[in-house]
Amino acid sequence: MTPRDWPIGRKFVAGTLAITLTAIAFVSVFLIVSEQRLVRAERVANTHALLGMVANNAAASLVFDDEAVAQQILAGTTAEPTTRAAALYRSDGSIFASFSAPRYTSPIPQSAQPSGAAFTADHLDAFADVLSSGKKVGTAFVRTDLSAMRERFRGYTMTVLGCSAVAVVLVLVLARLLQRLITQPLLSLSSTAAAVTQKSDFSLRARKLGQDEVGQLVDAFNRMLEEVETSQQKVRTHAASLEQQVNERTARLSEMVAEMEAFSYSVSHDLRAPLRTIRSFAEVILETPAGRDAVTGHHLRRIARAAQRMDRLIVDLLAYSKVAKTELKLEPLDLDDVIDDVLADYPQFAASGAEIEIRKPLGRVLGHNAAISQAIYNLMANATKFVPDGRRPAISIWAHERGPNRRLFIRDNGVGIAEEDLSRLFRIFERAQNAAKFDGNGVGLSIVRRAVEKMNGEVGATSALGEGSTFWLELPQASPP
Amino acid sequence: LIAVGCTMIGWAQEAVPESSAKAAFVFHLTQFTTWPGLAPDAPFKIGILGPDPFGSVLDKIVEGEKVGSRRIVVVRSNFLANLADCQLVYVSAAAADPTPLITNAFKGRPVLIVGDGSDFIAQGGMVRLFRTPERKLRLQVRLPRVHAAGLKMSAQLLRVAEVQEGSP
Repeated sequence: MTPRDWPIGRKFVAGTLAITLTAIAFVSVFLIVSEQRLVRAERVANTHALLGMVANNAAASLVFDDEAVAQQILAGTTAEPTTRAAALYRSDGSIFASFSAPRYTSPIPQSAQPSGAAFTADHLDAFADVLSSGKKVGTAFVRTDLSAMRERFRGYTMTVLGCSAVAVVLVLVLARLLQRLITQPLLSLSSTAAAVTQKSDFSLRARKLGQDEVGQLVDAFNRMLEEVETSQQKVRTHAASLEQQVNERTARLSEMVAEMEAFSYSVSHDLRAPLRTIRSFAEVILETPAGRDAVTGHHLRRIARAAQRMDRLIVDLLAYSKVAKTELKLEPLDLDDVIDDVLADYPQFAASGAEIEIRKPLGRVLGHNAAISQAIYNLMANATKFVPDGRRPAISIWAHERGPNRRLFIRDNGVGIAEEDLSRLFRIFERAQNAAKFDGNGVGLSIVRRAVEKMNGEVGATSALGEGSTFWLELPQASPP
Repeated sequence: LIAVGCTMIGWAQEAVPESSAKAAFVFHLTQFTTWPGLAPDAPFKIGILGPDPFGSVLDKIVEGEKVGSRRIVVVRSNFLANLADCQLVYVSAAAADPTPLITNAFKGRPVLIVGDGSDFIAQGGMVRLFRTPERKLRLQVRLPRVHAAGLKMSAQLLRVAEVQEGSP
């Protein structure tokens, strides 16, 4: 986790701590260094004062060659308890008198050195000229112990470091408290946002904990939620009213369709009775002497044929509306059996002399027996009907799997269908241009489509003029028995 | 010059020739004693009464040296009268005049009278140079007499000297 990914609280605490540590480290180093310089300077000053005392009093003892007095003067340096040793040197640099504190055994310099002070590991050595009437008559030396100074300095350093540690702890505690002040509103806002997203509940509101920028952000966030909630409600209301409208209209439409279908069914049904009467009486008249007249007979036969055509149309329309009206119960069917039944039920296909090739097995589909039989019958009827004069109809029937479905093909060697006619062929009362000279009413293929779609299937055709057509219907495949 | 001076003092401290050590002591006495009312431009005179025990040594020691701002000159004479304007008179042990006479001659005047005779102090002298049993050259000072003459000696000097109190 990079610092960029840290929680805000940690960032705040880390930042505060970094700044504080830097400041404290800077101040501590400054304090310690300046204290060290101060302590050293003080020690140098003290030592020089001591040295000055020796130098100012020792001139006579040097020039009058009085070692005993020199010793007394040197011994006087013990007034300063840090004194470890002191000495006087003659003007030629040779040692004249020396003094060491009790139990101090380290050697002292055996010859004079230029005046000045030098720190060594554990003491400060200082030399100064001894003057008489402005002339150098010898050199004084004082050595003071630094352990006290170092002890004091160490104590000071420990105090500074201890204070720094306490300050850091205090800063940590304060930073934690302040951090809560900053992060709590943010965390509250963030958790509200998460809850809103998770539950898609726009009625939730973030809690405002102060008037600062975060407080303003919370206000803005809540206003946004309000707006979202309002518009969501509007959308819901709108959707509900739309749905209601759709339901109402669908109900009305269904009602209308049902009415229409009932109407057309009863009309079709009721139209057949008078038609049968017309036809029967035309045929009856044909058998009478009046019907034997050539002209009258011709007219009577035309009447009978027209009545038969109309009856055919009505039968088809009845089939169409029956398919539309009935709720089909789907069951697994063996297409081989269906085809065999169709051929058995309609012996005219075999009688027409058509060549019928069936590539069994055709497989099993989920469908309604009567509806499939009706569709196959219609397609085969078309295949034997739309054939040029003098050509023997040839029909091929096969099927293959297509995804979860099974597609049944029925190919003929008929007149074929123009490209532009293919798309509208399955609509009711639509006929191909080149079908005019064939008997028909434009209802058959629409029944096929209606039936197949009722069984959750699809229909289609491919064709070219003069080269026959291939019609297909696709239904959900059924598992083997 | 300072180097020469130092070298001389060095000799004195080694106390090799008697005369050198004594000459150095005489010179240093001038450095630790204060004379009142000295004319600023007149030389400081050291007078040697009687036969000179120092030879040229003293001249060499005082050469270039000063008392305050005054250069030092050494005058030698067998007659007291010739040393009347000296600030320090060294009475040679072999001097013809008896010491009381000499001290009386300078009585009441700021003149430091130094000598090395064994009874020099007893006879009225102010400062006597003598040898300790360890053969160390030391000073004997009859301080009341010094004070009576209006002279002041530094504490440093008095510390290294054998000071005699009592009447002047």
